[in-house]
Amino acid sequence: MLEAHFIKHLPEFTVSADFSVNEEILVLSGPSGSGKTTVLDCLAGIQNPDQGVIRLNGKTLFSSSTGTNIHPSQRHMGYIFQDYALFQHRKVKDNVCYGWRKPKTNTSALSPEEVVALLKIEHLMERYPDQLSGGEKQRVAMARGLLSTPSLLLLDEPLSALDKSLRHSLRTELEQIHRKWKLPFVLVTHCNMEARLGNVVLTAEKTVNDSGQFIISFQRNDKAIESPGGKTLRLVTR
Amino acid sequence: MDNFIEPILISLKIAFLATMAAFVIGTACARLMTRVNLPGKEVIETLLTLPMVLPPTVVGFGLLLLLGRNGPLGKLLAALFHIQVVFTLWGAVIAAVVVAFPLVYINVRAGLEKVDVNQERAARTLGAGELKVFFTITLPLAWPGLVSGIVLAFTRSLGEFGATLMVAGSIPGQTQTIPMAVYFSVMNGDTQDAMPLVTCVIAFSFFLLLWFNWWSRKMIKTRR
Repeated sequence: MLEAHFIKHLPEFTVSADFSVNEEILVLSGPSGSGKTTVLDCLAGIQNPDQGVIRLNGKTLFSSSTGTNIHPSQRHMGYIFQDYALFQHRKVKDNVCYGWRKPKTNTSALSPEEVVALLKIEHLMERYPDQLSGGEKQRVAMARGLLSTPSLLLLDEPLSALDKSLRHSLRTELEQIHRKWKLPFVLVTHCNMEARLGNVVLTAEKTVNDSGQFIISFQRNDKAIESPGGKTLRLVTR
Repeated sequence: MDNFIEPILISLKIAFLATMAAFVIGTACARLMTRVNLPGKEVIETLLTLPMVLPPTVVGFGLLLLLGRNGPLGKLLAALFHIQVVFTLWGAVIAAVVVAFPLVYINVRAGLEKVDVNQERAARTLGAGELKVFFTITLPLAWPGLVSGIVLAFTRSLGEFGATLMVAGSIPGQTQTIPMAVYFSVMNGDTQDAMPLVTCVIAFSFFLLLWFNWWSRKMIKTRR
């Protein structure tokens, strides 16, 4: 279970995150520039919140009060970046296996063969990232993230760079992966259609506090799950 | 024959050691300067690259003041390790490191600045510690900058004259490098002695640069 209760000051506004995730897909939705990626970065340890606490399965990853700040490599969070961030100098097979550790005992841990087959990327193993299409890069990034055996998967606009047909098939694959491994997802998106992937959707809302500062917080929005897809979200101001 | 072989071996030894040292120090400094916001960064950077624009004899004079018998570093080395570097092969190596360092620093820094930080971040989230990220992601991605730094540092060390002469002198069989052997042969009117060395240096430098240009073009094509 992930518990995130923190704030992060950005030059133009403050982002406030206050949510928890069990085994579901949590979607953080909102327009570009509303601090969604900042929230993912804080969860992954790429950026540090200014105040608050982040816990994963009972372990404190960040706490401003105790000064705890676990290195990203020890957080066990897979992160699928918006630009996929595949290692340009390594073949697909080396990208995919970068974070994989061979299990010491016979456990039910994921094997590269299993993940590669599920994501249908067997034929890409000898290629370099530059030789892949957008959809292929996305699948490779997913395989790489899954093979690091994370306790939680963070996805930054995973489908936004893809065309409609690819989006549909990858959406189905994401749902499959989530069902199969019961892996909690935190997914950020600016698009209503992607938001419908979530069991819980939190939408960015902008408020002004007593001292006149803009605060962006994420509020539960059950309508987003049923609403028609394809629309780009706008920031709700209260 | 020794007159021909010895300066070549000494030059190669100095250039090899100086390039290795300049590479390690230059890479560490470049990494620090690209990732850490130090106060007075511009001043530090100017100081680091200063030997590139100073006349080599001025660099040599500065090193003599530092490393000489009465220099602060010279005294320290004598007190701690009972060693004297002036007029030794190590003096020549230090002189070559100082003049080659800015070339490594500038090229490696340019290479590191081009590295996509998201790829480093991705490696961290995949369980890699800082050392693994540096050696498996950062350095390979900055490789073109590293190679140009290494090639330029090596050729610069090989051709170093002024600073080396000031710090290490020109002792045949000990500190006499190719440029010095050529210079003193010509000064003594032995043009015939200088010719094989000159030919050797020109050929070596030509093939090294030819390889480097070929390699650079290949890298650019691969990246496209």
